[in-house]
Amino acid sequence: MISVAGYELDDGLAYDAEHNLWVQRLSAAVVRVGYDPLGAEATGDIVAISLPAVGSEVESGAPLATIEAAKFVGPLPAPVGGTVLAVNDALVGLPGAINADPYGSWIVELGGVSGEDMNGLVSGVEPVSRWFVDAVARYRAQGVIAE
Amino acid sequence: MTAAAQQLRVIDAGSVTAWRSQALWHGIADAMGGADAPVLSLCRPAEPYVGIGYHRRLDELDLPACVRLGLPVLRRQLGGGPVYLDSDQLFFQLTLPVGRAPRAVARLYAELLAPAVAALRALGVPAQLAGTNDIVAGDRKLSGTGAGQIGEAVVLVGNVMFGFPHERMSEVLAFPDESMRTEYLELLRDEIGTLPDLDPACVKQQIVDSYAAGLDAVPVLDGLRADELSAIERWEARLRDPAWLAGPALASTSGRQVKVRAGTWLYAGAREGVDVRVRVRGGRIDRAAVSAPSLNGLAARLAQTLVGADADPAVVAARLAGFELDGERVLAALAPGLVVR
Repeated sequence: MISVAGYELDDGLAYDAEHNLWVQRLSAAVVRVGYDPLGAEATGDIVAISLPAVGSEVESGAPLATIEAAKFVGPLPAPVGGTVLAVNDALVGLPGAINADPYGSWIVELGGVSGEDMNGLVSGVEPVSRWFVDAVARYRAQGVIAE
Repeated sequence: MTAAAQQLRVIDAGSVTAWRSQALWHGIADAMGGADAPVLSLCRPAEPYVGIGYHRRLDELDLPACVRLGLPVLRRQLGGGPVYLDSDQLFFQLTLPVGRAPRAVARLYAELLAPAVAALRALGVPAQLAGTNDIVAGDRKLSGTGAGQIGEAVVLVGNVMFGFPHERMSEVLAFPDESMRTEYLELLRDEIGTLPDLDPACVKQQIVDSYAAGLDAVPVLDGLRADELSAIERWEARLRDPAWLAGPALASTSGRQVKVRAGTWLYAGAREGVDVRVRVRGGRIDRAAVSAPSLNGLAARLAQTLVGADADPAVVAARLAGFELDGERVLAALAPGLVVR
C-alpha cells in the first residue's frame, strides 16, 4: 500500500483513471473490479447496487452494474471488456461495504480480458501516484469531495 | 460553446398516457449525444399510476390495491421510493449530456433544481431547496425530484403538484398493519403540500423561462427527433415488460421503512423477539414504541429513551447504552430503520 494525497492505495493493482476503479489481475485474462477509495468517496453513500448476470458480455466503458448513491442512479462503467464470471452477491444486501472497505469489496469478476484493455489502465507506483494526486485535486476543485 | 449548446430545446408533450409520461424522458436521455443541446420536457399524465424507483422492491406496494384501483405500476430508471402520480401533477424533466452536468450529486441537485425553485418563487410561492433534493415551502414538501444517468445523459425529474390525494397514496403502499398506514397518512397530510391556486399554464411558462435563464440558453419549442421517438417507443415497451417491472435482484429488507420526505419517515422492525416502531420527523425520533415480553417492563422506558434522539445509529446507541443487553437488542431491531434511502 502507498499513501497518496491522504488516501491509502494498493500499488499492486491497475486503475481505471476515468472512473476510479481498481482492477486486480487474477490470471492472464481474468480480473476483479472494484471502486478505489476516491471513487467510493466520490460516489457517495451507496444504498443499492444491481449486478450483471453471470455469463453476460460487457465492452469496456459499457455499463457493468447500476449504482444508487446520494439520490442518484447511474451506471458503473466496465474498466475493461470481458465475460462476467462472478459477481459479489453479498454487496446486494450490504452495498455500503463498498464505501467502508473499497478494496475488500470486489464487485465483478471478468474473464476473457484483452491485454489491450489492460494496457489502457494505470499501473505502477509512479504513474498511479501522479494520476491519483491529479484526480484528488480535480475532485476537490469540482466539489465532488471535501477540501 | 456551440450554437446548439446555447439552446434549450423545450418539448411540451402535453397530456399523455402513464407510460408515455415516463418513457418520454427515458427516451430523450437514451437518444442524447454528448454535443446535443439540453432538453426540458414537460407533460402531465392523463391517467393515475404508481411509479417505483429502480432499486425498490415491488413488495413495498400493495399490489392488489393497485389492481383494484386500476393503477398501473411503472418502474423508472431513477432512484427513490414509490410515488402516486396523476393528472394533477405537472412533470418537468431536464436532460443534458453527462459532460455538462455537475459531477458532485449535491451540486447537481443544487444547480439543476435552482431554476425550479426560482420559478415557484416568481409565482409567489416561498419555495426553497431542503436537504439534498426536496423543494419545500415552509414545513411542506412541494415537489418530488430525482436524478440519474441514462445512456450518455443526466436526467433530473421533478413535479409540481396542483393537488394530491394523500389517502390514495397511503392506499397503494404495503404496511404491516393499518395503524402504520394511518400514521403515514397523518404525516402525508402534514408534510406534503400542493399548489392548487397556481395556473398550470403559468407554471409551465415560468419553468421554461427559469431553466432557460439558469442554463443561460435560449428556449426553443421543439418536437421530438425521429431517434428520440424511437427510443421513447422502446422505453414504452420496456416499461410494460413484466421482467423490467420485477426489477433487478435485490436483497430482502429488514422491517418496513416508509419515507415521507427528507428527515421524515416511519419504521417498524423486529429482531430476536423485540418489536420497535418509531416515527422520525426533522431527523429526530419523535414517537417510539418498544415491545417484547422478555423486557420485563423495561419497554416503556426504552421507548421513552428513544424519543428526542437524532435518527443516527451512534446517537441512538449512546442513548441506549445504559440498558446494556436490552438496549443492544432494541438497537438491533431499530438499526435498519435508521438508514434512509
